[in-house]
Parts: sequence; C-alpha cells; structure tokens
Amino acid sequence: MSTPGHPDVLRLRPDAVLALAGELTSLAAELHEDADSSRGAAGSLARALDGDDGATAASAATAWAELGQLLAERADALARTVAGAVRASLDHDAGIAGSVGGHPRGPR
Amino acid sequence: MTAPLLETPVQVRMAATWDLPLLRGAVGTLAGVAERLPSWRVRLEGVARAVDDGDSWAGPAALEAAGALRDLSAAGWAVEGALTDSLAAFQRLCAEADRAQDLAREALVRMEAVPPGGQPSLPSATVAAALDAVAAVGAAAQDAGRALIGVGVQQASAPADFAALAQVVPLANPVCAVPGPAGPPGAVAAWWAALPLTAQLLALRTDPAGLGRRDGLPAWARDRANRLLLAEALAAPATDPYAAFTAGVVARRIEAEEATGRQVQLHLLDLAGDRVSLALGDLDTADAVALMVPGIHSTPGDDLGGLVGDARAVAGAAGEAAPALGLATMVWLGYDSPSGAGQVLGRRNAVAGGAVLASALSGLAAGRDAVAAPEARTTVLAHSYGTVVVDEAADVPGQLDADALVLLGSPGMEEDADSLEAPEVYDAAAPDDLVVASRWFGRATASERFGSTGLPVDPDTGHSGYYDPDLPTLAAIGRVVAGVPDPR
Repeated sequence: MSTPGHPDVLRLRPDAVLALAGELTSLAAELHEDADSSRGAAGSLARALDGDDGATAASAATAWAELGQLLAERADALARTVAGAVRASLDHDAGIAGSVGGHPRGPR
Repeated sequence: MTAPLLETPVQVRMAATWDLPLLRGAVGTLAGVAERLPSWRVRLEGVARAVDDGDSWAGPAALEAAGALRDLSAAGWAVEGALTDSLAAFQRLCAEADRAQDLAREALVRMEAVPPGGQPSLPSATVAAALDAVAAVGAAAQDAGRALIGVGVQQASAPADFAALAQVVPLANPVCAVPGPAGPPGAVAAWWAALPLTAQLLALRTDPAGLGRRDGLPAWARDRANRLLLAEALAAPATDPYAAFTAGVVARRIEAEEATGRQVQLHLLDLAGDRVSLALGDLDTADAVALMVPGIHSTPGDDLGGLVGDARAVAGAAGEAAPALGLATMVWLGYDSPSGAGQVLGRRNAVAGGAVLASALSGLAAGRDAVAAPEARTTVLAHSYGTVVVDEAADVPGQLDADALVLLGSPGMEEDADSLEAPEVYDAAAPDDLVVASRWFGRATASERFGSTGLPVDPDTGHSGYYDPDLPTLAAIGRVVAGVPDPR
C-alpha cells in the first residue's frame, strides 16, 4: 500500500483508474434513481394526507430528493473528472512520445 | 347557555378520508432509499480507499481526487444519518395517521348513529382523541423535515450545491478517534458502519493494534491496521527476534502473492501471540469464503507458505467448479495450535480456539450485515486437530456462522454432524489416515452415526493429502466451497 500524494511519485494505471471512474458513474446513477423515487414519494405524501400536513411531509421528502441529487451530481462530476484526467494524461504522454520519437501524434 | 357543537371538526373529517395505503407506500419508498444509502456509501468508500492507496494512481491529481472522494463520503455519511432520523419521523407519522383515521371514522359513525326521535350528538372524547392524533401527524411531518436541518435543509430546501452541503457536514476532518466497542462483533460492525470514512481512517492510524484483531470490522479495515503493525514490527530494531522472523515471513508471503496479481488481506497479525490470518481475495465482497483451520504444530513462521499454497489450491478448485464466483480463501492461524504431547492430546487449545473461531465467523457475517452487503457462502475447512477446534466452536452459545463445514482427517468428534450447527457437514477420512483411525477425540466422522456427507478419498491420501491437487478430495472441497449441489 503506497500513498497517492508522495511528492516523488507519479503513477497511473489507466484501466484501474477508469474502472474506479466507472464505479463512480454507477453510484451516481443509482442515487439519481433514488432521488427520483423520493420525489415520487413526496407527491404521494401530498396526495395521501392532503392539506398542510401533506404539504409539510411532501416538503421533507422533496428535501430527501434534493440531498440525494447533490450527492449523485457530485459523484457524477468526480467520475467525469477522474476519467478526463486519465484521458488527458494519456494524450499528454502520447504527445511527448511523438516529440521524442520525431513522429508527432495527434491526441488519442 | 350555548347549543352543543354538532359539527365534526374539519381536521377529523379530513383524517377520515386520508389515503393510508398511498401514505404507507410512500414511506416504504423512503425507507428503501434510506436502507440503500449505507451500502452505497460503502462502495463509494471502496473507490475512495483505492485512490487513497495510491497503487493505481499517485501524484498531485490523485491526492486531490482522494480528498474530494473523502469529502463526498463524509457528506454521504451525514446525509445517511439525517435520513435515518427523518425516516423515523415518517414512520411515526404513518402510525399516528392510522390511529387518527380509526378515531375519526369512529367519531363519524357515532355521529351518524342518531337514535329514533333523538338528535345527533358529538362523541367529544373520541373527537378529542382524533384531534390529538391528527396533531401528532402534523408534529411528525414537521420532525421529518427538522431532522434534515443538520445537513443544511432550510425551509424545505436542500443546500444549493455540494460545496454548500460540505460546509455544514460535521466530522469531515475529525480530530480525535473514538475507541468503539470491543465486542460483540455485531456491535463492533454497527459502530464501524456508522463512522464516516475520515473517522475510520483516523481510528485505524490511532489504534491499529486494537482494531486489527477486532471481529466485526470489515476486512479492508483490519488489513490496513495489520499492515501498519507489520511495517512497525519490521522497522523496529527492538522487535523480539522470533516476532521479527514471523513478521518477515508474513511480509514476504504478502509480497509474493501480490506480485502475481492476487489480492491479499492480512486479517490478523498478533506477533506476541504467534497468530496470523491471511486471506487471498476480498473477504468483504467475495461470493464464497473458505476459512481454513489447520491442525497441530502449525505456526505462521514455519507453515504460512505451505498453508497459503493450500488456500490457492482450494481457490483453484472452487474456481473450476464455479468460474464466475468471487472467492476468498483465508488461512486461519488464529488459535494456539498445539505442540507437545500434553497439548496435542488434550482439548484445551481447541476450547480456547473454538471460541476465537466462532467470534471470527460472526465477525465476517456481522461486517456485511451492518452495511446490508450480500451474504457470502462461508465454508470452514478444518484439518486434523482443526476439526476439534470446530467441534468446540459449535459449543459456543449462538449459532455458528457457517454454511458448510468440511472435516478433513479428523481424530473424532464429540457428538454428531447435527450438533455442529451448520446446514451442511462433509468429511473426508482416508483409510490409511492414522489420525482418523485413532478416534482420540470421539466419534469417527466417516461413521454412519456421525451423519456427515463423505467426500472422495484415495488410498494415497494419508493424513496430509486432502489438499493435494492430484488426489480427488481437493476437487470435491472446491465444489463444497462453491456451493455446488451434491459435491461428492
């Protein structure tokens, strides 16, 4: 077990890191679904109870949905950032390889 | 004198018409959301730890990503707690709504039941009770929202974005570690699952010796704690020479296995007690787990390499039986294996070891239960004196947390297969196994009266060939581990 922040170490295993990004994307999708379920529950609460109490309960359930949405969006954003970092790193490396070898290569 | 009030309050009439099945369905949906969040967070923390480990990704960007994932995990933990409290209020709301509707309908029925020639009268006590219940529904609805204030919900609106949520999340950077319960495993697992990742990581850094051996903690956490202990033992010049020898053996074994791409988890490192447990695979997520209990004269320093070889062989056999199955096999040297005639011929080591084994099995199950992770099929593979340890583990109060037991070359058991508390009990007893023939500790496992399912043996099996890839028992063991019906 090493550490991601050692100043002298730069390491990237693209497949492994892309797999982590994929897991983050899945997690985000699952939480988006749960946020939708919470929104549906909010509507049901409002209809089931009617009146102020129904509105109060529905507001709480809507807040559940919003909280889930926040977490899902953050997980999604991190997934995209991580996957983008891998692609950028590979492109950068390909560019350097092209320069060193004298055969300029386009981005991957 | 005023006329008696003959009209039912509007709140009571409304309560009588509430759609309670719809209400229960909505609260059930929210319960499902709340129940899924802990396992969601566990998976997220798996990603966070993978980045944090730095094995796949290291450098400044990885460091930032690790921090961002820890923040997301901390936010998830805080939301999880708030939703749990909010759900409790919703469930109370359901119960109060039930009560309010019953009372409201009773009041309306009694209002309509006008005696011949009489006047309708308001059942005031029932109406008052119904109004109380309606008020309790309102209070519960308010509480469901109030429970979310701690995660920044104001006037029914969540924080505008993740940054705003992160600002109100507590314990994102804990400054002190909480020791937590020492047992039982279920309580340990529940305590651990309720901690945010940042607090878990701090606790592991603060007390690796206490947490590395604590049954109920997930395997990843024990592995992390025990590797810290291992590194300390290897680095400290004052380490006892025998402990240093064992630490070296463990470190080299881990390095050798990981060099071939296998995942290794150091589940126990007790150098002072000469006890080590080492797993191949991921004990937290494997579909099937095999825990191997060796017999006499087994020490980590002398025998770990050979026993891990057996674990590899079992994993290979199980993989052949069920190629898609996720497997973890653990060499469990978690008890004081007997040495010397006095220990070898007595049950004392087995009694102590049985209690430890039962706790270890409970810990594996509890760690998954606490985060609603799928259960693993758990098989205990016991060899020789290890079967006596299993015998004693089954005597510990509470059900043994194993789906299958395989008794290999047993020197005899006290009672029968049913007494071992596992749904499936198998045995392999080679005809030329002198330990089996001794029946030193009780009834022969191969006898009909014992009642286990016999696995194939070979005349060449002897006492030490049960894991031999060239002999038939190993393939059958693999089928048992994989859960193949009729593995004979």
